[in-house]
Amino acid sequence: MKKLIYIYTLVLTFFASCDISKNDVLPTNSFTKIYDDNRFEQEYYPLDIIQTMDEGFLILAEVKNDQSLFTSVYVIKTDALGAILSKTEMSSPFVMPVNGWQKIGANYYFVCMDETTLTAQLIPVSEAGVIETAIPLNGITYPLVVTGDESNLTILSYDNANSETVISVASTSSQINQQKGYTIGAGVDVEKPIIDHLTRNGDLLPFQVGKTKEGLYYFNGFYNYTFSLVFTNFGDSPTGVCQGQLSQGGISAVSSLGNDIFGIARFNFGDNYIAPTASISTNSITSSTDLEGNTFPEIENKSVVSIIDTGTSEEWLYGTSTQNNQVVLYGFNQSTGTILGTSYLGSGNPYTLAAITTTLDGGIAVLAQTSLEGRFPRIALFKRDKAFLDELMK
Amino acid sequence: MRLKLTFLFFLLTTTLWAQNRNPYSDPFLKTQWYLGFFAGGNLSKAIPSNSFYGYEPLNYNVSSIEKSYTGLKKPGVQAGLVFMFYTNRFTIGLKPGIHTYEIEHTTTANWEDTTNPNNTLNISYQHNTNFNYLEFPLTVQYDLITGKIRPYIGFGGYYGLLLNANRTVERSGIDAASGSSGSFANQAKTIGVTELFIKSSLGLNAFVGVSYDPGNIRITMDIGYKFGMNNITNTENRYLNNELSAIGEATDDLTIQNLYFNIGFVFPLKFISKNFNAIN
Repeated sequence: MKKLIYIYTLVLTFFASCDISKNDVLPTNSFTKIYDDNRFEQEYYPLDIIQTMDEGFLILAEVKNDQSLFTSVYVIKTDALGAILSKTEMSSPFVMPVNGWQKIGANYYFVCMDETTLTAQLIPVSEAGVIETAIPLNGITYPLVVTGDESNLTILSYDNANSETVISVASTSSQINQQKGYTIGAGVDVEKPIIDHLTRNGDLLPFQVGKTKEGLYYFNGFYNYTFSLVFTNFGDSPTGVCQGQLSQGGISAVSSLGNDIFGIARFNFGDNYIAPTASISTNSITSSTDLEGNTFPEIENKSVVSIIDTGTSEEWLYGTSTQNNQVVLYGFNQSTGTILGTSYLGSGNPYTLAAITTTLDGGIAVLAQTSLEGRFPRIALFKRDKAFLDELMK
Repeated sequence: MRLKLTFLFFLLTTTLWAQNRNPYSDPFLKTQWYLGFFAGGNLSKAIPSNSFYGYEPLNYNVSSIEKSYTGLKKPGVQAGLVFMFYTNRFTIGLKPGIHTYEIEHTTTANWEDTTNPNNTLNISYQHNTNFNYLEFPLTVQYDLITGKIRPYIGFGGYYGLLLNANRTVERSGIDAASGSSGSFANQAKTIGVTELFIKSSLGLNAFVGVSYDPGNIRITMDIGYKFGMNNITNTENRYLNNELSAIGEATDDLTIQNLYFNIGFVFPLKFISKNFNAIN
């Protein structure tokens, strides 16, 4: 009997020690956080997220502003667990932040607008989330979207005086190195979707700007009456255009693989398509409706689509929102275009995707908007670890 | 299954038939093995040591979510097998069994229109969490007197292996957002929460009871209290449930305490030994 009790106790102690002793960890790898405000009238619209070197996060968001045509700027700094370290709502005249965070050197930047002069403002933010003195980007009005590389910012903006979509390359010291405007076409009907986008009174359009692997600039915006993917070397005419269907069809997200191959998502009169290996000519006129790709009926019409190159294994991570009000993530093989896996985030309240970023631990952070109790727009953050991503891409 | 039931019936029948000696006058019975089963009910409560929340408030103190636990309110049940060894008033028992526990806590969420304080939304979420554990207790009990009726006291420890856990959330509140106050209650929603808790649970228990021995069976009844010794929450997963995050809930660090009542039926094994040898 003594032996039996001894063995019994030993076995149970072994089982118990396995997970009890390891059960004192901070959940930095995977967590979900919702940033709530107990005021009815506050409405938050998240835009972008970036992980800082201290493993915390900088979140860029808009706040509905009853005193202005445009939204206010809201910046949150969190720790690695998503807990708030600081939060700042910028006061007038700084309004209408545009996507998204840019890390140039060791500094973090975003672009917003001066509501008095309507010019773009480059805002430096420290790793601690402290907003520093704004740098005016004179000559750029109504900024729409921005991306950065090692030294410069590429900014897409709207020039309402000349009815042009303008692409600019600017330094962080406010110098405009290159700039070119392309007509959106004449008439109020063409401008209306842009104004609705800027004032957040209509559909948010998937403006994008960037460079191909070969260094050719492109933007996704209005050109010659249609919402188009436009390739340019800052000449008088674009080198190539992939035309959409007015504002009802076009590219909703694009990322270059080189050799005129792109991972894209597109929309066309309510239908949504994903083409992980689309071939788009950068020096001729084509139509987005001719692009191959599979329709994904579960995707909510005109929702934000984010495409992330996970970097190491030739995989695309697509993220968007479903008609079931969840965030959906798809993994695709960049060579074959085959889908690798699907995962859904969020339930209980409606969720829509804002942005995805990779994290230092090999995982991802997904920024979304949720409506608490179905009525209060708030910011939600999903952090998922490398194991989650590996499972999605399996 | 039918074969197993037939065998069990045969075992019990032969055991009863074999009991024809006076167990209290025979030195043969200074030691004895028992085999049997037990069943009972319990009331549980959770003891939170640290509280956590799914909401990260931008303009209020998170403690206003008012997370509170109510204790020893929701009934659970348990049942299992009993293996006991008796010698000189002491009984050592192994009692593996299935135990279900239910704990209850509430959280709140409140929103107010700062431009019109009459517009408010106050919601209360009642969380009932059910656990199913396979537990392996090891107990020592001491008979205070000998005879057919023996009161006893005992103590022990247990290891629990979580089989599954689920939570039912009931939402109710007062919605004055339209300008007039109106209460509402929603249909309860049940979700799986096994991943929010670790597999292992360790604890101690103390109990008092009484056994009655008519000669060929021993009937036990005891009442006891269990003290969970470890945090059963999976600290790595506490923020991972999307349904709970959506209502501001994250799992607290918890230990479980439990008031229980058991009734058991155990049968002496030596009487059914083939060679009838009392001293093994």
